[in-house]
Amino acid sequence: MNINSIGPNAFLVDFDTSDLVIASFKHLKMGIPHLFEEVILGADTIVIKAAERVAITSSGIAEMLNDVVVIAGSRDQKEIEILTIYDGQDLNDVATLTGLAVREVIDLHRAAPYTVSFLGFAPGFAYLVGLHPSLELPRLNSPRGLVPKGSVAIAEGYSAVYPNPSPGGWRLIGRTELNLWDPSAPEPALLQPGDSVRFVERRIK
Amino acid sequence: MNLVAKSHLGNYLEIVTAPPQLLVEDLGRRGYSWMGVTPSGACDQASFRLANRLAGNPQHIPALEILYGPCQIVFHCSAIIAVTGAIQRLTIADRPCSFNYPHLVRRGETVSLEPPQFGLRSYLAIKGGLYVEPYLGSSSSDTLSGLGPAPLSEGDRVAIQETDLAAEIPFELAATNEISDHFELTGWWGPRSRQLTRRSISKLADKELIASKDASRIGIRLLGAELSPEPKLHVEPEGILRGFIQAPPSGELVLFLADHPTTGGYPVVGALDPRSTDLAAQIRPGDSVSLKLSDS
Repeated sequence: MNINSIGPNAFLVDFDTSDLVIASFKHLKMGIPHLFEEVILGADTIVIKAAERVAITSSGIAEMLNDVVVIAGSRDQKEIEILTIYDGQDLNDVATLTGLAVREVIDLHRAAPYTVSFLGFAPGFAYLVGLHPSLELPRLNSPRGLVPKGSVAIAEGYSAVYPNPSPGGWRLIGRTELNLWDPSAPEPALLQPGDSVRFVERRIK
Repeated sequence: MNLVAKSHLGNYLEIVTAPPQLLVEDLGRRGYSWMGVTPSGACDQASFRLANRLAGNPQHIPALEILYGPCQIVFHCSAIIAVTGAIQRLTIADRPCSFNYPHLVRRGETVSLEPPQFGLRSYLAIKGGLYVEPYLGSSSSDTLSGLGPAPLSEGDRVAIQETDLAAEIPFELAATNEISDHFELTGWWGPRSRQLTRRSISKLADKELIASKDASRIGIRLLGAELSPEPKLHVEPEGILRGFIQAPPSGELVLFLADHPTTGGYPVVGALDPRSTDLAAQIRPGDSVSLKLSDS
């Protein structure tokens, strides 16, 4: 763990493992909004902004994080199944670019166990790690103006589901009817950091 | 759009002429960045807070963010208002009125703002505040994700919270605006600047950067920084805060404003201080900027 300050009230913390990012995030999140205005996790970092009129130092952050340990199998983490119809607009291109058959792309995507690494890009948009390496492809050269809600997509080492319609540059391989974003719920984002995710194929006749 | 709830039919304003962008803003939805929700809220928070204070409100109450101009608003109730930010010619029922000062508007009168000579954004706060249904605890319009009220256009009506107009406003003399077409911004280098050479870092302060035409509430781009070596193409996504300075490989610097994405894949080389973050909301395309960053 390496804590860097960016000015007097923001910090960027680098971590060695994604598990430690998530465990540390869950610990720090309890400080919102009393100590922290924002705590944002990334792939291997956490960015922290202190709340107004709260003075906090790098060593204070270090003290809060030093005792954080990753408990294997600690289950405030949910297991979520995403029922998916694999008929995305980019499915054939993904098969061509990876040199796989469409069926192989689908089987590789649904067989893998995924973990929510972090959220970003749009409300409730979760970056899922665990994608089979042979499905790793760059984003589209030019993003689509409108990706439909529920689109199941891949890009680089991640898979994701678009919680709402938005522009987007990921490759669309399927769709789900699962609602990932409910602003009236106590936790608006269905997928939380550390949650386990599986894609389950729903075939249509 | 009609943002007037039935219970508030008594007090409302109506947009007669909408500027290029007219939004309801407050101090944003805070603490949700980790789930992909940008804080949003007023771009120039110092001016926003001042407008509310001058109107006799707590600082976070929803008010109007006016981009450039012209803007005309008719009040269907009496109200006390204050306008701050980029200075425009302000009239109430054709009476010239000063910025940074509370004014009484009588029922049926029209408040008019001309485009400002310098700067981009002005704030019109109303005693009692605008009443807009909150989304995740805030009534602000988020132009990145479309959360909160839609941008206002001609004919839209917005409810005003009922309030006691006779109650005294404990206003103070407001500081004068320092907005021109040149901005001196200050802040700090961040951890991702370590790959840059000392020479590149020491030269930045002497450069005249120019704001590109690519400007919005999400952020503005500055041309001419010429950092070296060129920043890395890509980093793993990491958190973004308002005021962060990102260095994509194109060589521009991106200053993030209120509707910034919550994570980004380019290195963040520094951050503006709060004063400069507010000032950056007033930078127009073509304005010149000097950026003086110190070590954290």
